[in-house]
Amino acid sequence: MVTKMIKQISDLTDGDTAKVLSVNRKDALGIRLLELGFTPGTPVRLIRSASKRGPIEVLIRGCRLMIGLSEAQSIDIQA
Amino acid sequence: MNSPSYQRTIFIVGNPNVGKTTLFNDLTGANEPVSNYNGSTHAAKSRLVFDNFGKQNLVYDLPGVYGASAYLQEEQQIFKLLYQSNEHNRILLVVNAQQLERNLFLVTQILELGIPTCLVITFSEHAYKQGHALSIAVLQQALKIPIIPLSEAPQLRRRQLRDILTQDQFQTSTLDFRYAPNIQRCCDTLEAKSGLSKGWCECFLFQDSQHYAELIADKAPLFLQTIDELNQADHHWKTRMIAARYTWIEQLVTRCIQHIPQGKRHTLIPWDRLFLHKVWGPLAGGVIFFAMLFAVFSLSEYPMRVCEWGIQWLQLWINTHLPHGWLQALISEGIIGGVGNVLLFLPQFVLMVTCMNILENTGYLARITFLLDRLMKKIGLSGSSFIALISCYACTIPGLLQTRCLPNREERLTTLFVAPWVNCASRIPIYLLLLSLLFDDLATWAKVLILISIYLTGLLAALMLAAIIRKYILKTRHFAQINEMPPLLYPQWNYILKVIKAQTWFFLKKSGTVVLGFSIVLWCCLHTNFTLASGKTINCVHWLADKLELIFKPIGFDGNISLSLLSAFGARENFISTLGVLYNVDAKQPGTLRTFLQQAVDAQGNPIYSLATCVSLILFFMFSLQCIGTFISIKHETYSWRKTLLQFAFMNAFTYGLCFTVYHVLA
Repeated sequence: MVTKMIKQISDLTDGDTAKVLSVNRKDALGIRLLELGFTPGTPVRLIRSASKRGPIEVLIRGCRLMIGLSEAQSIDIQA
Repeated sequence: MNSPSYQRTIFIVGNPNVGKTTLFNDLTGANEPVSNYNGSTHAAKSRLVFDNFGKQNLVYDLPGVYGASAYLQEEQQIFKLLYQSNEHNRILLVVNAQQLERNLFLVTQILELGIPTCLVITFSEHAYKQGHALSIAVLQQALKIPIIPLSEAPQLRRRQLRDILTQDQFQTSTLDFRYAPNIQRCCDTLEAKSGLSKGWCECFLFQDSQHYAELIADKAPLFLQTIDELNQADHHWKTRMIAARYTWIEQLVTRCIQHIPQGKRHTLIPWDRLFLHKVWGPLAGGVIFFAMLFAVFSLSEYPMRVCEWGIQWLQLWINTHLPHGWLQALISEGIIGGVGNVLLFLPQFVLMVTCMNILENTGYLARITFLLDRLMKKIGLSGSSFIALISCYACTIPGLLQTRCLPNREERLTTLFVAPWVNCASRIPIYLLLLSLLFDDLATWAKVLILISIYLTGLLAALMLAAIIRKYILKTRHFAQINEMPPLLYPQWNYILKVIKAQTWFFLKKSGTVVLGFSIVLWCCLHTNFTLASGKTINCVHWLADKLELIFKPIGFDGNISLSLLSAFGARENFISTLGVLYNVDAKQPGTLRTFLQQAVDAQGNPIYSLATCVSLILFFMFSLQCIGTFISIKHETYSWRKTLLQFAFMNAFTYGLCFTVYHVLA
């Protein structure tokens, strides 16, 4: 088996959809992301990224959210 | 019992930006500001209303909340408030039909708290237009509480809300949510041992122990023990619990929402391609802001001329028609000379407030934060603190309140510290007056350019100061940032008009109370002389002006200006009214403040309002912290006299130094 590289939401290109694998941080912010709907298996779509290292706009459970890059990097997606 | 038995307390709870404040206003007739980005309500506000039976209800408008983990400080406050509840408490739970899935997460958590609840659904007509038809019956059956879809017509909605109150349509839900057996067992044990409802158990399990220590002091060890057990049962118990709720919700949503194929999508969404574009977005933003400021300053020219003419005419009329004496002098010099000169700038103020409200109401301001985030990050702030800074446009105080939605303490303190440098609307009249002195016949576009550059300089200076503070003083490595992208809407004129009315009234009220009162007191003081033991007659105002002049002379301000600056501490507008009274009392014949100032000369015959003095004054107003309201708000927000006084000392010392340098270079 080839080991799969784990990708984060921020690695998607604009307009792409993927499924959430997990939230990779366990602090209060990780819980907040889960509460916002980033639970494993949820489809999430990257609407656009502001710039290379700026925030991203995602569509999750019918809501448009702006997420900072480092928060976006804490959400793993299924490749 | 300390609360009367007939009184109910109703808490309006829901996700951010679902329209809680709108419902609060509908229900109570209040006029709280409504905005199209999350976090416009910062603290719980309450109001008494009577239902149709004349019973008293205390209605609380609460800030938005996403879930029981209470990540933000305001969310923790909400749970504290709800926890101290008694049998007369009710929850009006608000759900946005367009975001049903996410909203239902909070709903299931709140329902388990065991407080009688009524669920209302907003924006259901919007959702229907987008092709989502909602079945209330299915939802009601699953959640086991009364559900009322609210109309989007204000009249009808108001009646619906009153009916909910009158008929007491609040019920405790019997929703019983089950987790996987190993997790459920721990929760059940905790529930039985603590005696708390299921919802509260989960709430305290999720929250940081320091938040609730004071609430359940005796039960804290029990919770810690349960957390240990849960960790043993399943390392990812929090994820499992949240995911289980969402799985249940997903199934419910597929049952209660029907998709109508012919529904149309958000009509304004394509504009986001422009507004949020990497290159065109910032350009469009620049054009929009420039056009807005240009429109404000050039359009207000005409009504201002009418006002100026009207005030002169009134002064002349009073001088000719009222019998000469102290009353005529008080009205003409004290009241019209003082307040009239401030009211002159009402058109300017109203136009500025209108434009900013349109930008906010359509959801454009929230887009700016998205674009500017990278720049803000370099500075050490986030897009949300930029919104707070931009909110200072009308008045610094709402901007200071806006900082409460910043989760990071250091970031919040930094934003509070630099906020007074963002020019508030009260300062516009002063700039306009000084600019008219500096350049007699300046073309409108040039004046607009100068004003815009004053605005930008203030903002840039604030950002630069923030960068320095974040780099050297209040350092933190990282802060989280999650915001909702509010929908792009057409301006809702009825709301915009409401806000304009409220802000205009605020301006008029300030002119009618603080400024008027101060003008009258000043006029009276100017007309009373004291005779000292030595036989010398002095006037307390002139005496004070002379003393102040000693302090302010090095930066180019004479006694009159210094006195006006001191009075501006009460309200910025006082600067103009004070000058107005001072010069009107001395004048032989009435005239506009501008002509008085232009003709003013010192003992040597040099004009007082020279280039150096005017520039120094403009800088003084841009950078000094000299507004009592701001000062008190900073104390209130930082909970620290030390920080407040430090800020006061720093800003005023900085301003003094800057004005001193500039004045001496120019003079």
